[in-house]
Amino acid sequence: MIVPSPVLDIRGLSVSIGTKPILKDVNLTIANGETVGLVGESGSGKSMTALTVMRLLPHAAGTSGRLFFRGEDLLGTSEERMCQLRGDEIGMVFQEPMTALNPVKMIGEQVAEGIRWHRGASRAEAEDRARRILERVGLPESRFPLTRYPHELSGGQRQRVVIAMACALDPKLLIADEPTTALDVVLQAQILELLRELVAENDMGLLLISHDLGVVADMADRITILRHGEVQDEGETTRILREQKHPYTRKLAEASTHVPVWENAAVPNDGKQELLKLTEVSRHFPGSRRGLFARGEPVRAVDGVSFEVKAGHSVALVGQSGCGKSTLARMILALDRPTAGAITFRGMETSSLGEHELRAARCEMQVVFQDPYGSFDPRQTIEGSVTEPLHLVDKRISRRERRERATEALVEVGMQPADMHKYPHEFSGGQRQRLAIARAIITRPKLVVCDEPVSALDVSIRAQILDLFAKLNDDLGVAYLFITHDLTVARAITHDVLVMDHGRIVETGRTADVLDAPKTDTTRRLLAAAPDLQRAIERRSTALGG
Amino acid sequence: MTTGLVAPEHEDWRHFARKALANRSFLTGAVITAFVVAVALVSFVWTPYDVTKLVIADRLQAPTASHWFGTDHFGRDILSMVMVGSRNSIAVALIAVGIGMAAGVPLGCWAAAKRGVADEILMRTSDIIFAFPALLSAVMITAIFGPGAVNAIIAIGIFNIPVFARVARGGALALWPREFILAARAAGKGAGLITVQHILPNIANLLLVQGTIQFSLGILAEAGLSYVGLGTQPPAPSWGRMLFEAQTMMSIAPHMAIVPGMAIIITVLGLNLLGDGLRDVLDPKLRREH
Repeated sequence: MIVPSPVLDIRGLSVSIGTKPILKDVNLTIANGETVGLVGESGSGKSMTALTVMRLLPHAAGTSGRLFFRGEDLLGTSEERMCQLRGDEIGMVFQEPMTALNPVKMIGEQVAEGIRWHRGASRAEAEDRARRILERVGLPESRFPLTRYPHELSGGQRQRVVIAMACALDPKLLIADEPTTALDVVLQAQILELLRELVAENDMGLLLISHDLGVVADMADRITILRHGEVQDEGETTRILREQKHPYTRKLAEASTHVPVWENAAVPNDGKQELLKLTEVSRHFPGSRRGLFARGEPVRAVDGVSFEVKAGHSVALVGQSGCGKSTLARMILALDRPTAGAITFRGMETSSLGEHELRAARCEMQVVFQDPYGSFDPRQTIEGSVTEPLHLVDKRISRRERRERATEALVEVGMQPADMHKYPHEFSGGQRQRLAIARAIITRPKLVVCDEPVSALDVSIRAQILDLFAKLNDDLGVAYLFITHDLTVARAITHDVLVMDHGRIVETGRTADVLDAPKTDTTRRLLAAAPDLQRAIERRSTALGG
Repeated sequence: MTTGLVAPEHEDWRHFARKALANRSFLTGAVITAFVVAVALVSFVWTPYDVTKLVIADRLQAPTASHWFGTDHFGRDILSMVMVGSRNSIAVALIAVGIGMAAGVPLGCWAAAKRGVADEILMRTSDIIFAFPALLSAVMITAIFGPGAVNAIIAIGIFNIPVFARVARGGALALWPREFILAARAAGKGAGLITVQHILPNIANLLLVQGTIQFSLGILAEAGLSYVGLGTQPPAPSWGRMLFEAQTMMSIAPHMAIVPGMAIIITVLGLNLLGDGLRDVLDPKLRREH
């Protein structure tokens, strides 16, 4: 079974930048047709391993060890030879399909480019081959002509184009660096399935890099777990995940299935007053122009949505990307106005109020965004950012009181008061998300809208942030609206769930009830696609037994 | 201070000073610029010779101990003329950049915040202004309103407005959809306050760099206008005028052109270095890294 000469053989690889070690004595092999998962948290050196294999490290980096690709030592080879290998025999898929494609080039051109460069094929031949590979990755020319531009495609379709580019020349090794992290669960499942098929068809080796054990558990034959540039645990997937011998493996597995201790979890205090009520809320965007005076059908981003949130409750709003979740959130936050319908928050109809009258409502509702990097002004100190919502409090606040409130909020989210003098770039992603939460609670709001608050974070950090959300709900009685495509988050931290599809709410109910016994196809589809570590291990065990 | 903005700590100023002193281009640029400004200031109270006094006997002298940079065809001391000329050149460029920034930046920020029709009108208007070569239009303005330093300032200033409006608008447009702006909107801040507190600090580096570029272009434009006789009027010297007068003497007294030319080059270089350095020094990401 085992092929004698592996596709990729990394032996004792160490990489350092300046005096800082990035990778320490890493060993890893991939055989033909084998998928190896490389798992670790941010900063563990996963991506650096991929870049080392591609020889795309920054110039200052120093490497030692051996790195064999089909018997050829890549560390010793010339840049010209690497240019031949990259994109031909070694393909790479990046995390962010938005930035991995050139926005001013048509997709056919981008796929054909590599074919022409490497094979010296004519334009027609290259286009023909591009057409075939695009069809193979699920973008048939009848529906997705080669002349489409990246912005005309959705995130999942773009990732398919990236995969087509990487696989156009039947590489022997494919490196996929977090290929599905930017996608929702349903698209993630589809992309993983596609990668699995391509590996089987072309008998190539796949190095699948991910921070999510759940994703890798389903895909990889073997797993290597990396931390601070060192291999912690390594071996056959089923064994690693079943035995969980290594403490770090166990820690990762526990963190990815973490459920916070949450006193209010069982008792959502029914009968409490109504906080937020949406009645038949719709938001239509004008359709794209068809001509000088003609417009296409309006896009119904949100279409007749009604629900309510009671004080102190935590509600999840789940659905695939593009289903209208974020548009709905913006309307609730009064950053956008509904085309029709009414939004009432604490008895005030926010959807018809002017900016001045909205102040009282804004003071009681705040927001936490997904991207902990984009949600702070890089030019403002943490104190300035965190105290920003105090602008809404009507009475004048002295500088001193402002500072006291900031101190209080920072301590509540587990940060140091001294942190307020620093700038955002001095903090890690998890710390920034804590700071974002501090900003959201500084006015003591009754409702916090959280737009994918943990999906950009590592599993262990995610567990800590979920704990923090649970604690704040216990301590402050703040209600949450969690917008997410991650059902584990919904299960861990919400009382009720709203499932959204194509701008409509298709299913509602207690979170546990809905997720355990889904009634609609949308919910079922989400559940089936969600990576689940436990389920993956069981499936593997039965597969081995059978 | 307005609400929401916290004044920088003393500690921050020390960081700023340390970072500024460690930045080589900032330091070089600051020294050169300070020197040029100091020379301009000194010229108000003292110059080696009177620049309006003609000593025909001493004309076209090469640099000597008594005339460091030599004399021109009227026997005027070139060092004194360069010193007095710096006043005109710097004043014209500075005020022109000031006009451009003061009008252009608010317009650009306003267009980015409003979008829609206001944005279209503003940007198409600036396209129209851009469609005319700046120097040509400046010639036209000064030709209509009469030559002179004040009209030169206004002419150069008007062409700086759309430059700054575009830079400000472009920078602001990229910032508006960012999440920290959304967070500020969720905190109830209006477009004006957000522009002052979040947009301006984040586009300041763009404006600063553009400002130094426009400043050096302003000096060149003043020199150009004076060269064709539409800027500073005789007998007041300016660098541009000196170049103009040197033109016919190039073969017999090259120092007449070299000295004011070098003055322009050094000033523009100093300003560019200063702008580059300032951009780095003001970036908080670079400020605390060791």
